[in-house]
Amino acid sequence: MRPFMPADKALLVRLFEQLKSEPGEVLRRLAGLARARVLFRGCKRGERVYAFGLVCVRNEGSITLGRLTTFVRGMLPTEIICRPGATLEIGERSTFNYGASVEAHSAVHIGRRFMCASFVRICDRGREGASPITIGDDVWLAHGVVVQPGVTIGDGSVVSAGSVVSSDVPPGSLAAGNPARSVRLSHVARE
Amino acid sequence: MSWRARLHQLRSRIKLRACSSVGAAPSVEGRVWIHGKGRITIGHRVRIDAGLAPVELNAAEGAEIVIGDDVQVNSGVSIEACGRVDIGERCRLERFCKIIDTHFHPTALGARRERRPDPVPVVVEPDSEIGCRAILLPGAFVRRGATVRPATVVRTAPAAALRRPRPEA
Repeated sequence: MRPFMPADKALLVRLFEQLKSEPGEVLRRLAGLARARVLFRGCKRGERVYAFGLVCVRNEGSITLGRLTTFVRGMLPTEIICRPGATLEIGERSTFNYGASVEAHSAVHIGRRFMCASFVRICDRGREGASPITIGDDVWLAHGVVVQPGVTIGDGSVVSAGSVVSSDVPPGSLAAGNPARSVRLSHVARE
Repeated sequence: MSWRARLHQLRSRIKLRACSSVGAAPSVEGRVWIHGKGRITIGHRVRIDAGLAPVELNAAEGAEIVIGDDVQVNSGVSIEACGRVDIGERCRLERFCKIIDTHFHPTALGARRERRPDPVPVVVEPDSEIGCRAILLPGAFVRRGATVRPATVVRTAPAAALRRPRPEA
């Protein structure tokens, strides 16, 4: 078993300083780390995976979580399901809001710095069977997005709230609607 | 009033203790998750039915959520304010609808996660109904007596609607 604390001395010193100035925040983060260790015990985890809220995990295949993946606390639990023989990979620094649900029957690959809002549903099995879903780096799925099987979402794309993504989204675009249609992000992006 | 009704009212008040003001006869079923440091004002006879899923009320620091009299809030409703959200009298918020007045993250890739965009107030006028799983995005304006169909997304109101003089309630 790996040590609970990273062995980095500078980091320990910083943590100790913070423990003196804001103990509540440090305790909250330690609780998040501990909860993630318990919930994702059968999974490959990078360092410092946080689970601040409840997460329903069913790992019958192989789940890989990158470092600094965060599950935010909220009113409903997040759901991470991996069926037998399936792979579910989540890149580093990804954030999941409450009520999100990711289900893998064949393969779901999620890139780095993925932002997942509340009530997002990603499932790679539909009426025609399972086909893998690939989500690139820096993707933001807004509240209530449904991603359908076989879809690829390109790097840096944003999917607008309440959309249903049934076809591929090219990199750097904004997808909206049901079914979602894409526009170049550079035409519409605001700060 | 029976002792049972009195007890229910007392329990409802305890559940809403984090709000800055609560009107007469509140009724809360289930769990309400109130967080943030802003002001939340709840009118008279507001019914919150959170039996299926909790209700979220989140007013960030300096923000304000105003819920009018006789409003019905159903399970899973989430209202998040960074500026101001107004819900008029006698409105119905159906299950799992979401009201936000900021996108929380900028859309542009370079500025991602850095800074929260400025909030645009959301106004729901009296007697309107927000359907199940509908989403009101920043700047949404629902007119008096209107019905937002289930699972629809309401974006920024057309300029004409914003310019229209507000009728006095």
